[in-house]
Amino acid sequence: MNTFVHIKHIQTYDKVSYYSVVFGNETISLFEKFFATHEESNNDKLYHIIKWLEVIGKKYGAQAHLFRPEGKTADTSALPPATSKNPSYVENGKKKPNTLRLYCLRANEHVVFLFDGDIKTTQKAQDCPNVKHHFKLANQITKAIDEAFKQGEILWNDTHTNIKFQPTIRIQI
Amino acid sequence: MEINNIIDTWLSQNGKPEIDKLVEKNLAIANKIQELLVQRDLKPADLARLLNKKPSEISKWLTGTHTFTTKTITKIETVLGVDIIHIEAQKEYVYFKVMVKDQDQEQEMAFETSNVNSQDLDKVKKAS
Repeated sequence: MNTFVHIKHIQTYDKVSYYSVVFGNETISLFEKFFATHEESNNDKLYHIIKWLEVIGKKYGAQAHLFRPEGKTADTSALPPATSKNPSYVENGKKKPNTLRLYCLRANEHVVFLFDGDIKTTQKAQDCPNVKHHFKLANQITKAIDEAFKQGEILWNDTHTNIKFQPTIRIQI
Repeated sequence: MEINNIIDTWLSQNGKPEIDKLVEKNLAIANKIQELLVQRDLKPADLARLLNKKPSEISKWLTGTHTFTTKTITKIETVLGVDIIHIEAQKEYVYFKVMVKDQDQEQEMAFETSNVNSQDLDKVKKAS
């Protein structure tokens, strides 16, 4: 059976516009499902990622080094980016890496599609029972969105700072 | 297309000032280092060499997820020859208005609270 998604606008800041996708006739986007799933159980980790989206959206743009490349066969990325030995995330007063992953497509420095994610428990996303489904789905949707760009279903504006598309667009994944 | 503010709405309902500051400051420091490297036509690998670190470690620093210690910041400042963080006493700005043409208004405005010793209003007029 064919599965279709449509694009939902999430937020526009000076430097970045964020979008997500909605399955079939649903109204809640994948990104909003991510919120709903982790709001209770992983609130601090979720807040860290959402704040990150706001700050880069307002000040720095979606520069490649601010994302973690996670593409198996497509341009999928994840947040937060790779962490050093001295991570910035703090939970219960202790610095630790943020293991929550939000999968996304960084279309360019100004447009990012946000999908879903979960707590990653293994080195490779494909091996993690929590995230492997989200990782696979994000790669599938990324491929479909890339194809929609190629087919002219999604267009760049003149300055390549945002996208244009018909509200009725349905993207097959 | 429906325009939403989903991120701002959620953040306003879940404010966490400590995480806010950490994200903002770590990204600001990483971005400043990145800018300094570009200004000096240096690559992260050059900074790694100067600091005797692995290039992968420097790349991770520049993602903005690293919490820099003052020791590390000082080392970076030393090899790049410029301060990354400026710690200065906060200046107190004093605002006052001076009316030149209308004498009545001038008298009224001369009593505005100000820390500036304007013993001679004429001098203030000249300064303005």
